[in-house]
Amino acid sequence: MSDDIPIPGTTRLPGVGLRLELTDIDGTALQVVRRNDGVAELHLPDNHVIRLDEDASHTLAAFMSGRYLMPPELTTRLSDALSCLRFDWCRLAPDAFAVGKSIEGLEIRARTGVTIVAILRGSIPMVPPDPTMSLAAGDELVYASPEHLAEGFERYVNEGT
Amino acid sequence: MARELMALGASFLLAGVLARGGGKVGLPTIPLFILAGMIVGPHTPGAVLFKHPDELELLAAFGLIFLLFHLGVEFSVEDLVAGGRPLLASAGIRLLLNIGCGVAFGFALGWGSREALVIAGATGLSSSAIVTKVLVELRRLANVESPLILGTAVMEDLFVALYLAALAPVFGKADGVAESLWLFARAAGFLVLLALVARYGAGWIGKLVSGVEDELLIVSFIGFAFLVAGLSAEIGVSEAVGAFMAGLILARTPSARRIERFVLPLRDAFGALFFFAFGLSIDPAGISEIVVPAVAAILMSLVLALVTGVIAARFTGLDRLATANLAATLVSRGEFALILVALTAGAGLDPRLSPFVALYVLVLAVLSPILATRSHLVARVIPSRLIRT
Repeated sequence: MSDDIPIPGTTRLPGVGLRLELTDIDGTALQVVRRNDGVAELHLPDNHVIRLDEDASHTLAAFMSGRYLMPPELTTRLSDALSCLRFDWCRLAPDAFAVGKSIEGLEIRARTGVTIVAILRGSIPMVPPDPTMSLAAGDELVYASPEHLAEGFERYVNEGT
Repeated sequence: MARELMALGASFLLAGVLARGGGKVGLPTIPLFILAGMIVGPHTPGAVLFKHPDELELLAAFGLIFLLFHLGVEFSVEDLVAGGRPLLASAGIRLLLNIGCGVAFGFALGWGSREALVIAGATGLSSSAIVTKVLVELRRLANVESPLILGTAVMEDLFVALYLAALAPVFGKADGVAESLWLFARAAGFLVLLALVARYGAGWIGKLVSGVEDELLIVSFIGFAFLVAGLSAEIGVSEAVGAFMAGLILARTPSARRIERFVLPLRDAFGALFFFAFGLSIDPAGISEIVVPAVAAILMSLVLALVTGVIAARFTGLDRLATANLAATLVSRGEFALILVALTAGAGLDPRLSPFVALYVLVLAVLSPILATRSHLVARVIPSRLIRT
């Protein structure tokens, strides 16, 4: 079990989560812990700890990075409303099968039954995406999928099978 | 039916109320669940909700299976590898010393050689549940020693499975050496088979349990865990090891993260019953007979915690306070000691074993968080010339 992106400066906390070490502008060490249960802990000097739940930490991450991330509460609400429909997104790794190919060329909907509703490239959301445009490494594919087809879709764009 | 439901409900509530009270003063839940069992059990004055722990046998078995299954799902080789050689060396030496001294202590007690093996496992292995909880509650996840402490706990989780697998045939009903060897070979063969399934068959198993709605996923993974646990018990590897292996197999499927999340509430609910049922079996009168050996074992474990802490510090360059944190946190004992005793319950072992382990676990489960909170005092016991900083 490991879906962790190896960000430089992270240490594993086995059974608990991941820890990121940073220094602030004045050189003071800060540590951020991302627990497997979704809680984020910000460890500040003098043993101060701020704990954020999953939603708050996602909001903070989106705000800090200045990038539009799909708000988790929105996807949850959508998924709840359309019980078996799942809204999710995945990021294309440099070696993903879909890199350099277009949505049309990949025949995404025919082969996987999943619809790509948006592509986020950097801070630019492409809604709806141009089906003839080549996908690039780092693109976030936002997709709508019946629950049971999502895994097949992610496998297809990553591995081509 | 009505009576059993009322008894179960009252037991859960009592366990919850006690554990909440304990939590306010920083105590972990396990000793308080045991205490709840003792209070309403047949051996103490006052209300008796269950006359015999066997009344909860199946539900407590669910607890044991979910405890081990969760460990398996959560286990990751990367966690061990990430710690590198300092982790492997310091955790390896810790295990060797703790188990070695435990065996010697067990034989010195003279209760029998099978009893000695149980005592070694019970006194040698930390409680991952308490360790994790202490680190989170004392806000120590950012400390330098925390990855080492958690890595050690993970390595001990793996050792628990191996130790249980090795012990299970010892407690089987074998007549003679030849049959023992056959049982051992059969058990080992079955484990190898499960390991091969984990390595090569995860995709196929994944199709069986994953890619479906939450409800179906939950039903399927519980079915898989119970089936593998039951098969393992039938073959003589013990249901606990089977549950761990089932978890390892499912950890390699795409649904691992979801399973990990869903199994937690099951583990918490049935795990509480497992500890509660253990409490039911404890007779305080029996405890008074084993106070001396239990206190001796507790002292041994405290000394070993300091010794192994100093050794770990030499491998990893921890300072005195970090060493004290490590020693105090890892001296906690809990679920593994109780699982060992529970699994050997039917093997006709010395009746003093169960109360011995109960008192040992109760004291260390309570003492460890207290010491961890005051680790600056523990640090004073560690001679500074032993620490390289």
